[in-house]
Amino acid sequence: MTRYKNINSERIAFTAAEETARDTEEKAAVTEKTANQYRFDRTISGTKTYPQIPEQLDQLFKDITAGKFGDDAKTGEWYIAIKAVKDANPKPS
Amino acid sequence: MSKISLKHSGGNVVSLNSPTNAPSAADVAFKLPNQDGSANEFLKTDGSGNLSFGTVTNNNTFVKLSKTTITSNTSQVDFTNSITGAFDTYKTYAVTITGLVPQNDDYTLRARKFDSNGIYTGAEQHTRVVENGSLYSYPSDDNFVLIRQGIGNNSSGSEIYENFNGIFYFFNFAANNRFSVMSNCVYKNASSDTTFTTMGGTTNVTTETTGIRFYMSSGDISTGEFTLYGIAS
Repeated sequence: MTRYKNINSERIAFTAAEETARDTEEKAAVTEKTANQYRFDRTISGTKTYPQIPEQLDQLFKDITAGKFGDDAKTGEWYIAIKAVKDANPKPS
Repeated sequence: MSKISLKHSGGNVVSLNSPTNAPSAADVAFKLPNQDGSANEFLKTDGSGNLSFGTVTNNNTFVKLSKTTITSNTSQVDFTNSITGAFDTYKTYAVTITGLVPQNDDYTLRARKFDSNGIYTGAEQHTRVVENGSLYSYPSDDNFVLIRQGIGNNSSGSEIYENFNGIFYFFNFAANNRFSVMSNCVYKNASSDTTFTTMGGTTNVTTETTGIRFYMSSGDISTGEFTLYGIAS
């Protein structure tokens, strides 16, 4: 099917060379989209997506607290800093 | 009340009449200009009764230069310097895009610049897109990536569930400048999620920019309105 372009409000049919170039460009776009679809599926449009970053970090903090990364992980700079904030602002019981 | 009447040979009269209400303070006298003005000029006063011809200053910030309405599938929408006022009159130009619906679901909107050689496809068009709060970089593409997620095209009868709306500002059209673009856009993606995007793009070439092209990464633009403005400083 003939493609059309609009130049300054004038509708003009593609030339054969423009059709070929556009075919190539669209094919590349579809290939790129297919190759990167998993990124969108993991973050936005998939049936299962990553939790928000704060939620991920909270999961990580809880795993360290539970000793799943070993006791050394509790002496790390990040853990100490986060724990200090949590201790200063305790969750109501 | 008095008047000056000029009777045409056809019989009817054209007349100049004194005002309906009397002059409030003193006599009013107008002095006509001693030569005709240019086309489309208006008669104006200097406040002392001296009349002359002059142009009307357009104080509108956004001066509409061209509008393109797409109602059937179209691959590209171009604005070129054949349009009066484009692109050597204003320092900033804007294009509003409203109600854009893509032919193919879930593809992105792109842009390119024209120069004296036609459409520019060198890998010197750099874009940074902030979409829903996250930053994405496209450092060496052959086009400006205007949004990251694809635009949806879901509708039901006359109800449009997904489309794209945005405003793009363009700078540095003159030679020896690096053409630049920035925008704010809101649209529904292919999952009908609200998507807000702001982006900035620059080139590393300094050829004069003679036009702007909008197109989808794949497929056509089915509907949409594109309006080009010059922004008066």
